[in-house]
Amino acid sequence: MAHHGHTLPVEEPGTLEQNSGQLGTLALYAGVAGLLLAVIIAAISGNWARLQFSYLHNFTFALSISLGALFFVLIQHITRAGWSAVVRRLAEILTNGFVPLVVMFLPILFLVISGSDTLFLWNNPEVASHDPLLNHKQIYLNPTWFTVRAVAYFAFWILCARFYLMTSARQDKTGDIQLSLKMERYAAVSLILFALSLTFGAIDWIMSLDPRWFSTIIGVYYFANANVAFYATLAIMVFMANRNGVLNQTVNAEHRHDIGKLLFGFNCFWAYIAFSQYLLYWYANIPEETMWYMRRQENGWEIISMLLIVGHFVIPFLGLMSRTVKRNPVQLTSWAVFLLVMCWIDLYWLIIPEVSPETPAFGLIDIFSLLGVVGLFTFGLVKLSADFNLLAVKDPRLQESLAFHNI
Amino acid sequence: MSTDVEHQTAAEPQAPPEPSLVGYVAQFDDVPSLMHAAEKTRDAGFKSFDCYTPFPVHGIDEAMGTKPTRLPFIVLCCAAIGSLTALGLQFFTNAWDYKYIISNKPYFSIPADMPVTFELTVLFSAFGALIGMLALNNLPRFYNRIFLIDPFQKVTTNGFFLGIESEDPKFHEEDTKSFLNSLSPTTVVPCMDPHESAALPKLLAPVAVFLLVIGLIPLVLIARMRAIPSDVPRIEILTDMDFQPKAKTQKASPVFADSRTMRPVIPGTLARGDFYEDVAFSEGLQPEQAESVDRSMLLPNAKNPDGTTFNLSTVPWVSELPVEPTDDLMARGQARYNIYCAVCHGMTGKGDGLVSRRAMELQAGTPGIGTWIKPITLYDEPIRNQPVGQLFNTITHGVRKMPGYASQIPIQDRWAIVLYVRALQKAGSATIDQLPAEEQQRLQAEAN
Repeated sequence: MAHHGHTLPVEEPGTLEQNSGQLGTLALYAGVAGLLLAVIIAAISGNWARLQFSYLHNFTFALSISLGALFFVLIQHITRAGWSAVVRRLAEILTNGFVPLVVMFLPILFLVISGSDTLFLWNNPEVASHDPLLNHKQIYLNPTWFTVRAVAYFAFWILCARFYLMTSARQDKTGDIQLSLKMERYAAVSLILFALSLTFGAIDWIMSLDPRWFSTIIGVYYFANANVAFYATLAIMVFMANRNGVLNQTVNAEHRHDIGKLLFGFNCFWAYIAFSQYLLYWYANIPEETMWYMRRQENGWEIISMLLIVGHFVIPFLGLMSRTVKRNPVQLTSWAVFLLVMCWIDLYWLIIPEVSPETPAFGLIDIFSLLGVVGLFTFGLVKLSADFNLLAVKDPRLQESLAFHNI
Repeated sequence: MSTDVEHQTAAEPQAPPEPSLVGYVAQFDDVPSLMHAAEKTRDAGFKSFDCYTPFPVHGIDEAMGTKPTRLPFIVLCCAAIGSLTALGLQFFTNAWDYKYIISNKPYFSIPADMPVTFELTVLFSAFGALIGMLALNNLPRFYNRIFLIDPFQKVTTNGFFLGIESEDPKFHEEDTKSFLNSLSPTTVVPCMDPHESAALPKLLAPVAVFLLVIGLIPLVLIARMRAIPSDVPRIEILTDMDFQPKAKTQKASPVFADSRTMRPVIPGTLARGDFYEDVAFSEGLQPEQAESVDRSMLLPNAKNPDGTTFNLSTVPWVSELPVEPTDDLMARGQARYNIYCAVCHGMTGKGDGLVSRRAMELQAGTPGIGTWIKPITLYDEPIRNQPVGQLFNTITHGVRKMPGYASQIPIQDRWAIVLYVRALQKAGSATIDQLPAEEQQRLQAEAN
């Protein structure tokens, strides 16, 4: 709104690698060490199944951040959003995570192709042919088709993410407005493909862990969670950057306020979706649907379920509501960390009951898997972002974003 | 009265009160000078002043020193009231005033209440936000004295104004004017209250009365229609599903050729869950020979081809109970017997039930009417000798005048009744020797 008539100064903040210090190296060590320790624990306890589920859990967690980032980039372009120009590059950098993620997906893919049914019961031909329900689903849930789909999802995500990052980086040099318009044009079709790939990805990698269960809302559920995880990550990134003296002149309370609003809004959206799913199952009371919730309502899992209601919704709903909290860097970042943990627990609650219905206790194997997957994910982000500024310095909407004011 | 009116109209119209000063309004050319002026006014300690601009100006609230709005707290209170209203309403209707089980859920179940609670919370919040905002802004207000100032019309195009009201404790006729002039405005104009307004149009009152009377006509008509009796069916504006083309018990149906709404069972069909492979259990027949039995002969008063009555004792009945006789089953059988059988057969099986006794009384009083036959005593030798399968068949299909009870009593319960009848028979035809020794002594002591 308030164009002050003069151009605000823009700093050149440098690249992620320049500003992250030893983060990349540390992340690499942490990632390798984490995965090694997780494997050692699995070997000692002999619980290889738990390792696979923990790995998948943390894989979906890291993936959700990159998916949320990609969605953010697409939405900013298709709506011609002005306020977000100062933080859009951070999201674009986060979408680089698809590259380390596709590497980390290979073990899962290998297990499925080699015929392991530990993660996916539908991959057991014996069970699948005798269970009428699985028999029907075999046309969709089989190793070949699973592989084809996974390749398609990652191909789209990586291509789309690279396109937006590279085009935006090219604009850093030329300042060509046509590039913004081009990105806007591609955003519509990308959003459709994004919705399809995310939904079917969630169906393949989360829902089909219990192949007899079905939920028509699982894609939206994962999408909501991905958005919360992304906005939390974005708030933390902004905070870290500012603490390191980067982006101090560009990202201010107004932008934090908007990130906080979106974090708050998508967290309410998550609660809405989670409750919608629960209410319908609860009302219809159909055994093949309710068994999924039964598993999460006994043997201590009910504590995690209640924790999600209170911790993922009620507490942050009240805590993040205030305008003051959203504009305060420390308070917003605290809530972002809190919600990121809740997103992790939410995915834990989605995935781990399928391997450990008897107890919700999480152990070192979960911590080390988290360290391993997120470590390698971060290492990939830093390495791949060597050439990119932390700010889209010649974005045509940058001035609008700098002058942005919440009413 | 009339003289008063004449006197008033004849009097000189009272002189309107002198216009009084209610504030000063300063006009500015652009946003920065207005902002600057607002900051100065704030710092000078004025409270009752306002800025008027053609569009929202960022930061003007800070420049004016406006306190943060209390609206969020109003909205929060309204939201809480909305939640509690919804929960209370649902608790009252579902769990208190009219308890009704739906889908086997608890009367008061939080998941089912959430959507309504959510909606009412949002609704009350929205009302709170709108009404609270209007109240805090002293709205609705159709008129402001500042409108009378001539340059103020520019406020919708390119005028920026700052007005200080005379209500302000720091307001002073001369000082405030010179203070505003020191802010380098284009003009400073006093805002006067003329204490007069244009008269209402003369036609307003008669038109209002006329419209009021017109508006009352429908209400009067409705009241009249409700008060007087009428033979004409009421006008159905909304039928509320009063007339539904649905099948009703014992009513004719245009859908079927035989016009019967209640459809007879289609031969050879079974209700879901009614298929039993064990014919000993489901029909009381010996499984090996059941196939040769003509089921139509098991119905009451079945005739042989030569016209003689079919002898049911030739059917291969089971002689052992196909269910396990337990105390529970016996208790169940007693309860079912007392409900379904005792009205005719009597509580002990002697055929002296209330229905039977009343029918016999009526028949005795008026000979020649009635065809009631007293049920035979269940202790009779032929009945005692009947295999359990035949007793079961009698309950299922009936015998002579007794109707079948298959539709009312489930199979398991029929066997429970058979078991109880056997117990009655044993008790009713027992000799004293069969009693335990203590009982024998007690009875003998009573007889003596």
